[in-house]
Amino acid sequence: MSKASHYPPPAGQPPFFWVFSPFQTDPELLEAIFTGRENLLQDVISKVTQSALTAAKHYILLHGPRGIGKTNFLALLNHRLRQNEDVRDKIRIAILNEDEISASFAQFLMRIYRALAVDYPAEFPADRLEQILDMPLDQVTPTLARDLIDRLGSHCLILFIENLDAVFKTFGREGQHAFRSFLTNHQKTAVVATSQQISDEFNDREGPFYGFFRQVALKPFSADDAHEILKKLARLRGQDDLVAYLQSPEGRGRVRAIHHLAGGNQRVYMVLSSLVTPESLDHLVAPFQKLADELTPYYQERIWSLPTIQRTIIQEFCRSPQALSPSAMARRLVADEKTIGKQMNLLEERHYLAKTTRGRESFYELTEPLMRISFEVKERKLLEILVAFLRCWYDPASYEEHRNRVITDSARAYIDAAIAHAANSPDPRLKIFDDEIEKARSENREHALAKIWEEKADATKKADDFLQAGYYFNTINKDFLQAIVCYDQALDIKPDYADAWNNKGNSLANLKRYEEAIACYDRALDIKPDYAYAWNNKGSSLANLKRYEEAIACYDRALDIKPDYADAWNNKGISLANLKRYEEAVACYDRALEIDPEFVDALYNKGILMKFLKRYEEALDCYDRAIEIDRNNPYPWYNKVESYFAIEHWHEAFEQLKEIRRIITWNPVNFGDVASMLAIIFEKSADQELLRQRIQMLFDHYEQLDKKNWPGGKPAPSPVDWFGEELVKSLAKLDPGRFTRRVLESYVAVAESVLGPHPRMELPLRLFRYGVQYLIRLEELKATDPRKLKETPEKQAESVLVELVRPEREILRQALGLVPMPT
Amino acid sequence: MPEPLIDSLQFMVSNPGGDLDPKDVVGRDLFIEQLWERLEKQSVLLNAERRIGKTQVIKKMRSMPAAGWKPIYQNLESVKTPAEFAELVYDEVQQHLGTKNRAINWVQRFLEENTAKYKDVELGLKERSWQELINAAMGDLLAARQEGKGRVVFFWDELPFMLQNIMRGEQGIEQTNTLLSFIRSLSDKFPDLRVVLTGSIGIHHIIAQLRKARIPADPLNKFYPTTLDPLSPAWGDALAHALIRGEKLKFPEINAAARAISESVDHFPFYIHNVIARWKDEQRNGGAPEIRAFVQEQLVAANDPWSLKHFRDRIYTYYPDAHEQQLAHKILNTLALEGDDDDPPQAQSVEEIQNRIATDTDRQKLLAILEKLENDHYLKRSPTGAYHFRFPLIRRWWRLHS
Ligand SMILES: Nc1ncnc2c1ncn2[C@@H]1O[C@H](COP(=O)(O)OP(=O)(O)O)[C@@H](O)[C@H]1O
Ligand SMILES: [Mg+2]
Repeated sequence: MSKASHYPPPAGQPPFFWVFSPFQTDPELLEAIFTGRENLLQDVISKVTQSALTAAKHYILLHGPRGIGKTNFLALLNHRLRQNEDVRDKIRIAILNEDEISASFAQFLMRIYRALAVDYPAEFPADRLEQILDMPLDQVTPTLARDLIDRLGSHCLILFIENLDAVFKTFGREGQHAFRSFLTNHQKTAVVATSQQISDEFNDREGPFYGFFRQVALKPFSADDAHEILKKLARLRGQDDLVAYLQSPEGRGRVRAIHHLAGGNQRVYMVLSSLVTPESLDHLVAPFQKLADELTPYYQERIWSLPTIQRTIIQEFCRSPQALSPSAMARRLVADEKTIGKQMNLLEERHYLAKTTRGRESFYELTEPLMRISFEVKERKLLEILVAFLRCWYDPASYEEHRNRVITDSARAYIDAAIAHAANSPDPRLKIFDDEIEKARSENREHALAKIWEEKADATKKADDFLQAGYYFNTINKDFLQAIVCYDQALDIKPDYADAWNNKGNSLANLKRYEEAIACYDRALDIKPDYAYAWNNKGSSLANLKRYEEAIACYDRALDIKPDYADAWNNKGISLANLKRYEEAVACYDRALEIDPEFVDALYNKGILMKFLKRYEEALDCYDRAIEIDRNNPYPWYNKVESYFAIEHWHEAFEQLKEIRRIITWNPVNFGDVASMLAIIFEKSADQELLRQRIQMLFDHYEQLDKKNWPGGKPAPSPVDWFGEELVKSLAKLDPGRFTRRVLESYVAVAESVLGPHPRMELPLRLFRYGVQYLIRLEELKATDPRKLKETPEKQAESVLVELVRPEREILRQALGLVPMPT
Repeated sequence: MPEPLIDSLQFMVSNPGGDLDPKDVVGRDLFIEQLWERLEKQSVLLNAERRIGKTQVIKKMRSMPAAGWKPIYQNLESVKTPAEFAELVYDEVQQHLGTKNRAINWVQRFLEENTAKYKDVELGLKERSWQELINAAMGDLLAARQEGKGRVVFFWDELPFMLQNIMRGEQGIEQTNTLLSFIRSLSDKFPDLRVVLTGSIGIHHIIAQLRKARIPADPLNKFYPTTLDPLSPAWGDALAHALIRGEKLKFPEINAAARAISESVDHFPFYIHNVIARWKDEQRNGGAPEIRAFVQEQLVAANDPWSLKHFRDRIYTYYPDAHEQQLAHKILNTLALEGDDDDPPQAQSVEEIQNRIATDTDRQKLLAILEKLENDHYLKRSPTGAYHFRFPLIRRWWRLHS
């Protein structure tokens, strides 16, 4: 395992990326951040290799919108080919970049010659080109072509052509034919080209290039890819704290929020990465503003390059919070619908707009929501509201994340032993490490510990030290991959190191690679059959795979060995609850609490279960006990409120809220399950005026929290944003038994009258309104004869949502359970 | 038909639309053999749908010629005038003459003597010059060959594109006619010279234009007309099989997957390559049913990734006459819509067609248009004389879109 590939030395200058011209960037850096396309790259390399070594010639076209990573891909391909000993002597590469444009085939050949003359001056002398250019015009093209072919000798020419669609447009038919006959007549050239779109030139059955190129769509970055590249960039820049933050559930949530808006545009992440720190990423709105600022000229340039009429269309889209049909757009522009429709179509082909259809109607929106930033203030506000909302939306409800399943690492015990050992360590070299470790600990720089231990381990080559390093990478830095590297090193040295197997299993489980984790625990248990931790951990991975029966068997083994193992009792309770064996589950939680009365996780789990079973009195009891242990945690407080709502003790509930405002003095990250509270209020308030009052009181609570001056520290979601987000989530919790048009519409009316005046509620209200319309439509469809439906009622009802722009529609689809919430 | 032995095919990598290594051009041996036999007697006109594999066939013939033949391949699509054509041929011949011959050859002298006149504006002279240039080049080439006692075959690929270019130029009609007659006369002049003309856009359209301009010509009647079909099912399977292995694709049942790929695209090798490449690029999963669904997707996708809509649209350009257009559509609709999706119905006889479309068009007119549709690769005639769609894939598309 080469360490360099994980941490290229941050010697001297920090790495620099040419975001708009990747060919300038150090290829090693490109390698280090290359994400998500290794398979494709390998494939293209193998096709180029075949072209170089045999008579076969491949013609490949990579297509995708701006910023998707086309040039980046070519730059890396170029680098790999020039490194590749099997082919580099058999090929000659000519790169026609995107800045230069050829107006004719003759110019095109000249650029190829020029490009070759730079890289291979002996074979393609520059003065020969000058000679050719002196010839009579009608001889230049044939001479150039022949010269190129002759000079290539037995080499294969690899042509990189950027923006081939634009090249073809300027060539016209004549140039296209000339180019194709150049390729097929000599069969000495392979092409790897890029294009923003598949224009007619590539698919016209009457044109020369019909079906000639293998067309490969570059896929936009997924949220995971985005996460990956941000992590790689942070690592390259030596921002360990950022890497750790990105690795945390919260960091992942933030990246998801960004991805939701920025989509799969690689360039956005390159720019963004240079602007963020853990704090600013957590806050999210600020880096978005900075990102907007950086990208403004880029977007403006893109818009200004359009014809006026298209520009005005884009401008209107930037203003509109919703998707628009051609007729709506024509109205806004005081213009003819046909003309506007045609222009919108063109803009769609050029990837500026995206289209969704509903029957015969088409709705358009900006492909890149970030484009709104290219206009002034008001449009930016829309974006900021959305960002703030998304930040909440993708925030892991912090307790939920941790609630499930405790896994147990082995290492802490070694730390003290190691320190004791170090105290009388005779080796001065090692003493340096030990001092560093001491210093980092005393200065609370826990993040630094993993690396120091790793360096120490490299020096001592001791399995124990690698275990320590792994432990810190795993638990503090959340760099699970690097932790695994350390554990593997420990295991190289000491293959029967049960603790290392156990911990490696934990890191794999943290990466959600449960099957592999289980294999590790099994190794640990082969070595040490009475290893209670490993039994517990194995159970936990099995439970994550929903194999609850097997999980329970493991917990039982752990408990046979260590009857007072509270974590295992708690975990067993969770699995039992999942198997609907509720009474047994309660017994387990109680057992865990007997052993450790301050075990809040077990209290919460029991509380959740009681609430679920509608045994609200017992739930209230659990939360009261939790509050006794930790008065400052809002989580049990809000659960109490919810329980009071459920049993219609309105007065107590609102009193509790007051109490929360009095007691909670720090900015919490969790404000309770407002969605459930809202759903209960909707359900239990038949009287519209009472309903209005109760929602008002609940909202007032959050608004007052919002105005509160929290002491410094960790920035948290704003309570009002939280409320808005939860309003949308409440859609999934409404009681379907009450879905009538009248009832549902009254919910919207009340929500609008209470929240309408608050500017930050505009977006959640819109989503709530459309969500309710969806539910109404769904009920109607369910009542119709299924044979008359083209699709499932759920699918068909979605047509209500097409008027929303895509990022908003996606949120709503998640809220309505039409697509899973990302985890 | 030599049956493919799956194991005899190496692992192959997909290359949709590219140039193949001759050994990867499969399933064409019989066709190639027959073509060489035919060339013993006469020149050939190979007209077939785009991307069916014409170029790969003739390039394979070039790289593995039958005994005694010297093949020369030239793509003509960018040629715009007869003079350019002549120069192209001349240049190519130069490449094939040994240096000894090149130095003393007649063409060289001809050029030196004629450059002045060659640039002359007078049409007759210019015309004669390009013809003489070719005659001379061919003469030299064959003279040089004579010593080795061999024959020469020119593969002129994409001829219709060149003819269209010329047609668009000044005096296009006359020039095209002269050029075609000249090409036809070559075999009379040079008994050891053969020509294979290939193209997708039917040459009959160009001849029809000549006729319309009252040039009563059928300049290619001495050529043996032939066409190229998709691969046989066995070869289609074998190709898909080799590609699946070469691209290391995983299917639950490789045989079923290979069959599904080949069958669902009518054993059209280009589409076999295409489907495999896309399957890999898009990291798709599944087996035979998913493959069939994927191909079906290509037929119904709004952006028409395989440009199949063109088959409907081009009727308007190919058949300028409104009545003809209507008739063609009616015929194709009937042939498409009768019967089930999966099992193409029996071919329909001319009478049946006439009854179904209930038209009072006379039989001669109907026959004429049926012949056109056959030439344009829509229809194929069974041995009994009945008509059916040439490609089931296109029929499927037609069913979905009419
Ligand atoms: N016999 C064959 N075996 C394998 N693949 C073939 C064969 N013929 C054609 N192909 C595939 O079809 C593509 C198009 O063939 P080509 O000869 O260029 O078509 P045409 O000249 O008829 O337009 C090739 O790039 C290749 O992918
Ligand atoms: Mg061809």
